[in-house]
Formats: sequence, C-alpha cells, structure tokens
Amino acid sequence: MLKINKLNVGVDDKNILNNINLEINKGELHVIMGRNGTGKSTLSNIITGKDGYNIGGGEVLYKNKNLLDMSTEDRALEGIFMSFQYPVSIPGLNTMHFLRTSVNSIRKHQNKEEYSSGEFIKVFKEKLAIVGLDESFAKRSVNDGFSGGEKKRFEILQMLLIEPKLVILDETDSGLDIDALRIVANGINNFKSKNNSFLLITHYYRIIEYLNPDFVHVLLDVKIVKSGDQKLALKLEENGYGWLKK
Amino acid sequence: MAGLKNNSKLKDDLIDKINNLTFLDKEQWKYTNFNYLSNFNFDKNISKNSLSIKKNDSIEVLSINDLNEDSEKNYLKFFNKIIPQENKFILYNTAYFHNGYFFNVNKNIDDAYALIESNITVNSKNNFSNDRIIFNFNKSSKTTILFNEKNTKQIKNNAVYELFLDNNSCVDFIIFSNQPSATKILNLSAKINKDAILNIYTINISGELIKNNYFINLDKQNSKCNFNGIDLLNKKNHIDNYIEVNHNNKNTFSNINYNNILDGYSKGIFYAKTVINENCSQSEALQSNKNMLLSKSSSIHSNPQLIINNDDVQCAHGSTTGEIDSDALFYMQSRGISENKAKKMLINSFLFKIINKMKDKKILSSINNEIDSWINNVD
Ligand SMILES: Nc1ncnc2c1ncn2[C@@H]1O[C@H](COP(=O)(O)OP(=O)(O)OP(=O)(O)O)[C@@H](O)[C@H]1O
Ligand SMILES: [Mg+2]
Repeated sequence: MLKINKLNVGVDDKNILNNINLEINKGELHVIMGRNGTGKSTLSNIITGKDGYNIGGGEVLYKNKNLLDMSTEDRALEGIFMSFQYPVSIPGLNTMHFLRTSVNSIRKHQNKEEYSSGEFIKVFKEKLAIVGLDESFAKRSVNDGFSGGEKKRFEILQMLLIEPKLVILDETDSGLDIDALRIVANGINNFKSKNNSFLLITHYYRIIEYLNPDFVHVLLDVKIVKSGDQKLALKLEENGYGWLKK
Repeated sequence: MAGLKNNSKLKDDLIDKINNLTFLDKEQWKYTNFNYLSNFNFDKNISKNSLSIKKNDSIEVLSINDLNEDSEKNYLKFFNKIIPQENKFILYNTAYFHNGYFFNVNKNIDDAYALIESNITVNSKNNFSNDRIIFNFNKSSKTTILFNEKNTKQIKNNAVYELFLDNNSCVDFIIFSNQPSATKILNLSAKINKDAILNIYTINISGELIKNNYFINLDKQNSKCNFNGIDLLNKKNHIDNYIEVNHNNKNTFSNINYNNILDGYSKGIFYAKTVINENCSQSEALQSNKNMLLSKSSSIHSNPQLIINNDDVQCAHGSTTGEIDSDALFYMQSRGISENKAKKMLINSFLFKIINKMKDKKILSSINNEIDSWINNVD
C-alpha cells in the first residue's frame, strides 16, 4: 500500500527526517511514537502532500505510484486520508456542505454514485451516531468553536464517510476523554479491514491497547531508531525514550 | 408639495450654503477624489420615477410629490432632521432630489416588507440623480427593507436615506448593489430609539466608484446596531465606506463586521469611527474588518477607530488583510476537494458568515447566488 524509501525531508536549512524507510501493507496498522518535534507530523504531511518542505531524496510509493508527484486532492481521491493533529477551523463554511462536497468528489472519482442531499443526511446521521456527536453539528461551521475532543471525533466522522484506503491518524487520541477514546477506538476498529491500512501517531499506550497494531516504530532525532510490536510501546510507556539513546 | 421641493427661497439658501461650504472631513476623503465627484451635475432633473417599489400592507409609501396636509406634517418631523449638513452631496440632494419617498411602517406588526429597485435604462453621462427616502419604523414593528440595485448602465446616483427606529422596532435593512459601471454616493443616517435594533446589510458587488457614508445614532437606552458589510471588487472598482456610530446613551450596542474581497486592480477603503460618549456606561462596541486580497495589484486601506469616553464599556476592534488561508485550503484539498473549488468555497464562507444572520432566508439565498456567480469568475 505505502512504501517509503530513504526519505530525507527538511525545511529551510533544517533537517527534519533522515533516511526514513517504512512499508505498510494492506490490512496492517503501524504506530509511530516519538518525542515532540521529532518529525511525526512532518512525515504525515509529506504523505498527504502539504507543501513547504524540501524533499532531499528518497521516494514515497502508494499503490506503486510515485506519491510525491501527485497533488494533495489527487492523493485524497486515490484513498489517502489524514486525521489532523490540529484540525483547521473554517468559520462560515457549513459542515454539511463541506462534508458532502468532499465525500461526493471522492465518490465521483471512484465511479460511485454521488449522494443526493437526502441520502447524504441519512449516511451522515448514521456515522454521527458512531462517533457520538449530535445532529446540531450539521448546522455549524467546520471545526469552528468545536472543543478539542469534538474536533477529533469530527476527523473520525470524515474518515467513516470517506472510507479511505490509507488512514493516517496524527494524535487523534490526544485530548480525548476516557469515554471518547473508547468511542473513537471502536470507530477505527469497526472501519479497519483487510483492505485498508493505518498509520497511527500517538504518545500514549492506551489507544494502542484498543487497536492492537502490527508494528510499532520509534522516531527519534530525525530517524526511525527502533521497530517492534505492541510490546515495544508498552516498554516506552514504562521507561520513556531515554534507554533508546544511541 | 413638501419639504424643499418647490420652496425656491430655501433652495437658494441651500445653494448659497453649498457654494460657501469649506469644511471637508479630510480623513473621510483621503482616498477618494472629492473634486472629481463634485464636478458632475447634481441639479439636472433626470430619471424621474426611476424607483419601483413593491411592498406589503404593513408599510405605507408616499411619494413626496403627493403628500396631503396631514402626511406632510408627519413627514416634516423627519425630513432633514438627522442627516449631517456639512456635506456637499447631502445638500445637493436636499436641494434637488426628485425621487422622494416617505415610508411609514405600522406599529405592532412583524412582517413589514418592501423591495426597492431602480430601473434606470439610460447612461447618466454627467448627471447625478438624487434619491431621497425617509423611513419611519413605528413602535414594535419588524421590517425587512431590500434595495435591489442591479444595473449594467453607467448610472450616477446620489442617495440620501434617513431612518427612524422607534421603541422596540427591529429592522433588517439590506442594500444589495451589483452595478459594475455605477458611480454612486450614499449618505445614510439612522436614529435608533429604546430597545430598537437596526441590522444593516450592505453587499456591493463591483462598482466603478462608490462612496458610502453611514451615520448611526444609538440615541436611547438598549438600542442596537449590527452593521454587516461585504464588498466584492475586481478590475478598477473603487469602494470607499465610512461608518460612524455614535453611542449616545447607556446600555447601547454596536457591532461592525465588514469583509472585503479584492481582485484585479481594485481598491477598497474601510474607515469606521465608533464614538462612545461620556454618559454611556455598560455599552459595547465591536469593529472587525477582514480583507482578502486575490491579486497583487489590489489594495485596501483599513482604519477601524474607537473613541471611548467612558470607562465602564466593552470594546474590541481589529483588522486583518491577507490572502486565502493556506491551512484551510490544504485541509479541504486533503478531503478531495480541488484547489479551485476549495478556494471558491473559502471565499464564499468568508463573505457568507457576515450576512448569514439575515432574517429573510429567501433573500439571503438569492444574494448568495449572486456572490457565487461573481466568485465563479475568479481564477
Ligand atoms: N514549516 C516549518 N518551519 C520550520 N520548522 C518546522 C516546520 N515544520 C516543522 N518544523 C520543525 O520540524 C520539527 C518536527 O515537527 P513535527 O511537527 O513534525 O513534530 P512532531 O513529531 O509531530 O511533534 P509533536 O509530537 O509535538 O506533534 C520541529 O522541530 C518543528 O519545529
Ligand atoms: Mg505532531
């Protein structure tokens, strides 16, 4: 599904990611952990196509196509979705209008029938119930005045509506209360299948416990310094990152 | 005959006054060429009856040409009472207006509605028409007034509107203008009484040269004004807005929200002056002006001013000018929305949030359609 080879990324003169190698296959869930500022969101942004970074070498392949040549919207149309660490609020842009435009753009690209407004409201309500948001969100502006936790649930709502193939969850669990975390984790687990893949970025073991990842990687000082399974995450939870120092 | 229409003595006095008028608010005319405008003819009686008015029974509309004795008395209580006098264009209007109307809204009704459209069908050349409309909103009335100004002709109009909101009245006053070749001067004054609310919506889509002056007076306790404005400018459009709000009593509230979109070589001016006077404790004044520049050659001058003469008040003002929010654009693109479409949606939401509280949703949606068709021409 996703293959990253020897990727180097910088901003201005600053080196942010160095020699990153990562392969995520269909049906797998990978976790990246690592201290603040080690480049986790940068990696997510590179996969989704945000500009402003210098790619200093390496390649990113998605379904065997060169991802770095594609525009952000084309990547989304092809099935890549990122749940933002900091979702952007857009005052004045109605939530339903935004969601329907997004979902229908993607459905159209995939030769599926676009939702009429009536059909969309039905699907919307169904998914809304899964993430535990109430229907008044339909009338609000995108992320405008949403609480931290509501924004994260809204990201998961979009994932459920869009049904992407590759999902990046950038600290989707941060800022969620205990119940919300369970709701969000259940939402992810229900959507997860052998046909889609996940890259989860987190600082906490709790969500890992819910999701049972296949791999856990540690990003430290621009590099992936260790990879393992769920036990690695538990060890980090107990001992921190100190023991990994080169 | 009413007012100054055929009173040649008063007219002569006025013309004297115009000729001797030296005072000119420099700050107000910093970016718009006063001399250019005042060199046109304001005294040529053109485009008579160029206004078409549709309204329901909750409003009585009288043409100032056919007032009877009673209605004339009533009308004279309002005519020329609150509009500033040190302004050449207002004086011209007073001396020469020909489209004059008196709108009297019944008390205790909640559905008053009037639609005012101009139907000038010829280019105005060097002659300005002068429209004069007085609105009296009686106690506890709820009204929507819509000016629908759509014209591709080279029209020149010098309008004066005088608004009186009696206790507990509530007005949505909407001026929609889509007149790419218009040269337009508007002076609007409002006097707002106890518990009354004036919601102004001004939507300017293009315009060759537009100079709007608004004078809002919050005269009685608990009076409110929400001033909502958007301008969509391209080519060499020039729009200059001056908004003055005077808080003249306790517990008064004003909120100015003005957003501009500028493309091409257009130029916008936002100048707001809110004055909270000494005796006006517990009042609140807000001003916000946001501008989105779509081209390198467009420009905006923003000057939001608060003059506060009382400690017990809440105030905030701010002005921002920038390009399209690139984070929002990225967010939307990452959801499969094309860059072009996302841009248009962002421009629309930037404008729509200013006008979306408009009570009449039908009007709102037709205005939004006009906005969208303007946006569709943005590249
Ligand atoms: N546009 C930029 N300009 C300058 N520095 C940047 C830019 N983007 C990222 N960086 C820097 O790159 C480093 C990695 O940032 P990134 O957001 O990827 O960290 P992160 O691992 O996601 O951290 P956190 O756990 O706090 O979310 C940081 O030091 C950050 O300041
Ligand atoms: Mg991050």
